[in-house]
Amino acid sequence: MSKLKYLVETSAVRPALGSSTTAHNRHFAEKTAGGSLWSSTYIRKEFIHRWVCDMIRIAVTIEQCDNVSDALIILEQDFSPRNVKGTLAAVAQMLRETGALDNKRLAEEEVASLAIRWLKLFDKDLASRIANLCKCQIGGRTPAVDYNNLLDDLHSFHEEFRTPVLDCEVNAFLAFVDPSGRAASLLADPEVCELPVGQKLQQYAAKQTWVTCKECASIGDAIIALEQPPSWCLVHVDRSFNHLCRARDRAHLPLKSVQAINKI
Amino acid sequence: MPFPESITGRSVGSPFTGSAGSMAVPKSAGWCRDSLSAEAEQLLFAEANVVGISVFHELGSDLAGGTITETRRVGPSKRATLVTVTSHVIPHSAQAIQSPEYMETVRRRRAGSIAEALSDLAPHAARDDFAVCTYPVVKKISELLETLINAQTEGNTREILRQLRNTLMNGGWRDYRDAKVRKTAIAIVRILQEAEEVTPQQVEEAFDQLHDAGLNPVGPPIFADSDENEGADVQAQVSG
Repeated sequence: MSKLKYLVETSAVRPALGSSTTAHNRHFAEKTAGGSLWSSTYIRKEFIHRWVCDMIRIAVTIEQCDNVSDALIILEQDFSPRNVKGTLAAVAQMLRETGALDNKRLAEEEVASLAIRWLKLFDKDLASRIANLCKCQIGGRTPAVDYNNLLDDLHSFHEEFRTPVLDCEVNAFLAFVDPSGRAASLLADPEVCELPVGQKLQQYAAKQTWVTCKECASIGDAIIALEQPPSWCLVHVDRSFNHLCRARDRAHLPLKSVQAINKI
Repeated sequence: MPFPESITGRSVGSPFTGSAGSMAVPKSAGWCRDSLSAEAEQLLFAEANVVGISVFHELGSDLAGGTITETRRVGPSKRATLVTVTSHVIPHSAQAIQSPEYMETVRRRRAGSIAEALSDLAPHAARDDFAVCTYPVVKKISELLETLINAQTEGNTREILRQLRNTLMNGGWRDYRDAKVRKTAIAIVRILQEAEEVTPQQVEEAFDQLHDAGLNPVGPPIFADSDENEGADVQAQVSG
């Protein structure tokens, strides 16, 4: 009997890489025991967008401030409305532990290099990928880094990565013009339509919006659900996938959140 | 050149060395050279005493600032005295300590010391307090990281050092009881000890070797946002 194949959704990446709490990591390991872990180019794109780009931004901001403390204060204000206090507290803690909190140069390298190592860890532990059906052009990118020019190289990568692709084939993948297309199959489900991602998808479909990376980022859950192959089981923490997977008639494995695990 | 007896000198700051020739200045000169016409200046200094003074400022290895104060007392003179003070800044020593060659030397020498410290762990591997034994390794790595932080050509070295340090942090030191793990780490440190230039390719290989040995070269786990919970919509945060 072949091993069960788990497609690890973005919200489950942290426990999959052993980066959540010990109890949460164990919960993930127990639930997926005996199966193989898979990812996708699109999930990798979300990983880079969310974690790698954030760390590059923090490193570059530190480089442009007089000291690390000022940089963290500025970042806390700049990241609003997204709540990244946890991230910034963790960055401060890491810099304190490595003795880099009082050394701007050490600090920016610690943060920037960590971004690269996280991506390497992702590529090592989630090396298997399903087919890139949506033809995402940026999710497969990897920064080419010479650590003698670390910040310059990462800055270039960040700018290139954040520039929206205007001719993405995701438009053909979603097929808003086709009433029996992929997007329509999701929008036929009333509960999906009530989700924030469903509402956004409806809005784009109604206006026949041309989807670039900017729009795509706001319907990521839908893309992931639409890409999931029939014989893969989606592992997720995000509850939206309870509805998305049901609407697509795909197997899914909801995990408890860190908070829910702590309450047990 | 030694100072004449009539001159007193005071030097502050280790990085500077100074030397000067003798100097004679009219004690109560009632004129100012800047206000003289070229013709008057030519007449006045035609048969003047001419004194040349050279002051050498050699920047030391610590690049610390400093001050040289000198008080010179000279006797009266019937003739005008032309004093030329020339200041020389000698940067060779300071430039040398920032040179890629010097940094390479520092890296090679101290990598050797780290390799030795790793080898020295062998007889202590079974000790209950093994964490105490690994402390010198972490300290040496951190010190070398700090020393090389401004070396423009040692960025790849620094990344390998960070990876090695991370493998010892947060309980990672326990893995170093295993001889195979120590052997892997020593092999990576030997690269730093022997390479003329550490390349990005060697950084990649070091990461792979450490990861494949079951160590954690990554460092802190992926951070969670404060508002991440079961209902959080990750994609909405991404688009933020």
